[in-house]
Amino acid sequence: MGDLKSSIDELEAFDNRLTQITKGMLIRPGSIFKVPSSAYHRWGIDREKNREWLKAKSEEYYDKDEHELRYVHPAKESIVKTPLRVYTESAMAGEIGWIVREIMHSLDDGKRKFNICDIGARYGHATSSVIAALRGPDMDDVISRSKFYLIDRNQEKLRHAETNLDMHGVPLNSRSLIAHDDESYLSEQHEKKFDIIISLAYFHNKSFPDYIKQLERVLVDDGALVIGDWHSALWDHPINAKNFLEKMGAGNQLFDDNGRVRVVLDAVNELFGELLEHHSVPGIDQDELVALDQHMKCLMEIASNLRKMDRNSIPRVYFLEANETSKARIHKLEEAGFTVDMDQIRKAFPKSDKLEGLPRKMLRNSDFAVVMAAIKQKRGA
Amino acid sequence: MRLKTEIPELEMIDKNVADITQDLVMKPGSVFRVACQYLENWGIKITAENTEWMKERALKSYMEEYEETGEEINAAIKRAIIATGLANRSGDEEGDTILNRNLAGMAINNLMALHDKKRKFRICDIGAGDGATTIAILDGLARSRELMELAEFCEFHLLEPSFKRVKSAVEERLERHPVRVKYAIHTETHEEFIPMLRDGTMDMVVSSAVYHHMPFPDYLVDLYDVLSPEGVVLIGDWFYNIFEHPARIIPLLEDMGLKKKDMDRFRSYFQIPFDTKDINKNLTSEQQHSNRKFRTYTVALAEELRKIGGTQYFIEGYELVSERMEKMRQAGFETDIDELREKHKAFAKTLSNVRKIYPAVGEIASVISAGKKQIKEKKKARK
Repeated sequence: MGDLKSSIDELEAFDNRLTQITKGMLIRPGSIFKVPSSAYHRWGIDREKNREWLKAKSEEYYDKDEHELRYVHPAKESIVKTPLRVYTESAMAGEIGWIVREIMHSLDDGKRKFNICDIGARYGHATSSVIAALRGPDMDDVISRSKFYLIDRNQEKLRHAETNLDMHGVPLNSRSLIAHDDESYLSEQHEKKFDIIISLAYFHNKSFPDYIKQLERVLVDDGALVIGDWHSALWDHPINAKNFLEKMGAGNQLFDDNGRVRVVLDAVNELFGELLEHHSVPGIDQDELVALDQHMKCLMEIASNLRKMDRNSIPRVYFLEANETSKARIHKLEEAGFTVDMDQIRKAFPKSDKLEGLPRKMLRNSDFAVVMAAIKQKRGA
Repeated sequence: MRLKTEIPELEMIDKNVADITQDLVMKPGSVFRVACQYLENWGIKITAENTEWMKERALKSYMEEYEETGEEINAAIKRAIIATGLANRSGDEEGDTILNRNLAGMAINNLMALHDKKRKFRICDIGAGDGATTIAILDGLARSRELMELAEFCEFHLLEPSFKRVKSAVEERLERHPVRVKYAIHTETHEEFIPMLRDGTMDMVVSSAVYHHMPFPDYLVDLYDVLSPEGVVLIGDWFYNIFEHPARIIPLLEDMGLKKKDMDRFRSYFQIPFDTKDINKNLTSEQQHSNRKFRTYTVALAEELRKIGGTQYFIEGYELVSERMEKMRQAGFETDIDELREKHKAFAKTLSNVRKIYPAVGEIASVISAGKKQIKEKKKARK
């Protein structure tokens, strides 16, 4: 097995080289550091040496992405919203709303003040779904006792979220919109502050699982974490990235600025070299295979949307992200002191007899979109 | 103002309005798209002779708009919705989705009240669009074992005249949904489809964000006819009364940049006095708020359309929840919750049959559920 790259110079060179050789592609990989850190070794990266540097880099590139595609061209966000994603994302939001409603119903004693935190809130989709689920004769007053914290780096998006909360009639003093990096915001919270933490389609933008420990720390002992996310093993191995590039036409000849012919795929093969052989692709089950396929199709659809656009206005879209299988996510949650065990969840919220079948797969026979609820392993300890 | 009744006169109204607003990016479309009870305020009288013509005219206008609509326009609509924090087209995240989700919740409660582990339910989704309403019901059914069992007794009929959209609904959504149910897709228009089912065989009829395309209440009579005696109808829709009077759209026309000269023509054509501050006097602040919301959205959409060089029509058959419920009563539905709770098993545990989705801004998006009155009463009402 080849040596893992550990020096910053080596890592930077490797990452820059990939960016350089995929220039001119419609969708490009973007920074390698954005893949899940648990897969770093398969990409030839030593995770432990220079951990902080890698983490900072990964976050920096996620930030950059946001700017490239969304911040600069808010109107162009629809390009990455393929129908399957839009439908399924709102189904996940609905599910989160419903689960939170059940949990709050069980925790509520008629007086309790709830703090609900939405990490990576964007347009406030998950929060508004929670509020909509709480509306109704039996839970209406809980809203007035709750405070909603929406955390997102992007001020612009939070402004839209604000309009959403207005529509849902959330009073000004029951909301707090925090335009801040979530991890540093959470690290500033010194107590168990939140009763419920929700997040929609966000954690696949986190290469390192440190955030889960933070969540565990700020969550009250009888609280819950409810997350919906996109799960796929696509970036677990560079061979998938190579195959995807091939699908995107990397095997074709391209002319560079100097008129020289180059074939992206050849350069990628050369760069990845022995990485492609040394580590076997991790085994996956049937549902995860379907997820892989759906993930790939989503990306292809984005590419075809881009192809239709005017050449000069095509935004840069990068495909590498920190998606992981739901199993891997659950494993990380467990390592950080959470459990997703249905029996324990049922026991934790005895007043709700409707909590069932979690984690829930939102697409039939597929691991792609999963909503899960997690509680602390040591409740009240 | 003398009310116009003759068809040539009526034709002239649309022509004149089109002429006055020719500089606008977003057009009003046919005046006959407003809810029929408002037509008098627009100087139009409904007679036995002109009703059919008006219906056709409205339909034609909707068809024209539909022809215009493509991917680019849909994207513009979405952007306007996001900018306003409001959705009123099917398939978007916020408004219609939440409307559907609430409708689904109410529908499932009704079904559970009837569920006896034997009875089969036929559910008809009229104007299914991309299947979002049916999917919302399936999402709801996925939530517990008990509800999953109920799903086995349900059979869905999705009715949508534009086949292309339905096909994608089937492939994209129903096939991928974790809850597997029996379903059938009907591509007939409801006029063609209803006669096939006129025997009242549907246990539930759901209609989401469709009705405001129907200026006349015939649609309700059709819904009535397909519904079984103890069946439930659920109508989710957007409610504004901005089109109650032409004077009420003056601020909208102003915001969209109608020139003063054209505005004066509009005022004089509909005989609107210059002092219109009283026009909103009889509206509650909630109603004014939702009208304002509609204005903000329409102006945002006009701006988006200007960028891409497309057009859409803004006049639609919106009305108030109370007016819709009155029409439902006229068509033979029972809308009183106490009566429903007493006479309809499906409503035995229902607290309220009208749900406002955004209570803070009024009835802007609401779901109304109802059952049938006695058959005898129905015949009287239909005459």
